[in-house]
Amino acid sequence: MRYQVTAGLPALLVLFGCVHMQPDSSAPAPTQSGAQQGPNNVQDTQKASPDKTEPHPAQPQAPATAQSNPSATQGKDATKAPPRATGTSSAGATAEPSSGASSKPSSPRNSSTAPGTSSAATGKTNNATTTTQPPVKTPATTSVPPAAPSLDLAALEARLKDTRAIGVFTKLSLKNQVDDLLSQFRALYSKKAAIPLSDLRQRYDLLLIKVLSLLQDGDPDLAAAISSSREAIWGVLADPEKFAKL
Amino acid sequence: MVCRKVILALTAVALASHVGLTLAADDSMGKDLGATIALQGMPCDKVVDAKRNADSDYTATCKDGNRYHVFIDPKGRVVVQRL
Repeated sequence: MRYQVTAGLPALLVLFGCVHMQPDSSAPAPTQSGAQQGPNNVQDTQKASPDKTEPHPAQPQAPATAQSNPSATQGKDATKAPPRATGTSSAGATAEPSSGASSKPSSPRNSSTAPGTSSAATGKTNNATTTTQPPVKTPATTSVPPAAPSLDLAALEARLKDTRAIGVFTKLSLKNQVDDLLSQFRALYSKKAAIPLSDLRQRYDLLLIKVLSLLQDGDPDLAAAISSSREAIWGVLADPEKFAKL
Repeated sequence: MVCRKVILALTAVALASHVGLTLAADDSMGKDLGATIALQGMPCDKVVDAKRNADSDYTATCKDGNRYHVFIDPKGRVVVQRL
């Protein structure tokens, strides 16, 4: 009888311990780490750029050239795409944040344009590899990437709510401060208060720094996503019409 | 005799893991309270003790000796009061 009790006690304790361990072990990082690189996070871009220059250069750049020069130079640009992409790796990294949320759109673009260009331009690519004209056109194509950063506020909000990098008290405290800032914007736009927009920008930056400092260790992917959306969020806040739609 | 030793070892391991998990939970609570205190602009390098007074109501003691009452008021705002 005594053996049964002494054997059952540790078994129960082990089971109890396992029940507690489940929530701790369930914190899978989102797989968007590579796709969401903020322009402000130099470390992240530096880490990610070597990985990205390998898969991306040929695929995303070729459609960009195909869009910019759809007429006769597709084949030439397609052949020149790899060196240009590797040469502008930093520019590609800064363009990534916008494609952080749009990593999915980039692949459909590839799939839609690649067949057309491959069928029409493969014959030209072999012939055009020896020409020297395409380098003149590379600057024009590098000016194309600055696309409008996509902003998914609902997704960011959901990720902030779900992240385990911030505790409940901290999340609630942050929410209070966000609500305070939003009420100040409301007061500004309803002309109840004359707060300079530059002052609100400072408060917005300070709040964002707080959020990023809380997230950067526990959830770096979310921190990068928020950091890359900084200007887009400010664009919504600073525009009375967009703000009214929030 | 061997069986008894095995049982004792298992008990010790189970107790140690349980205590470790409890400490980890306290540590996460301490970090949460520490971040909350810092967000309110008050000094606290590290929370070394957190006493639960009620739901969402804690008394935190920092390593530098500062003590804070951290709670959620009826309006849903996090309040940090220095004690």
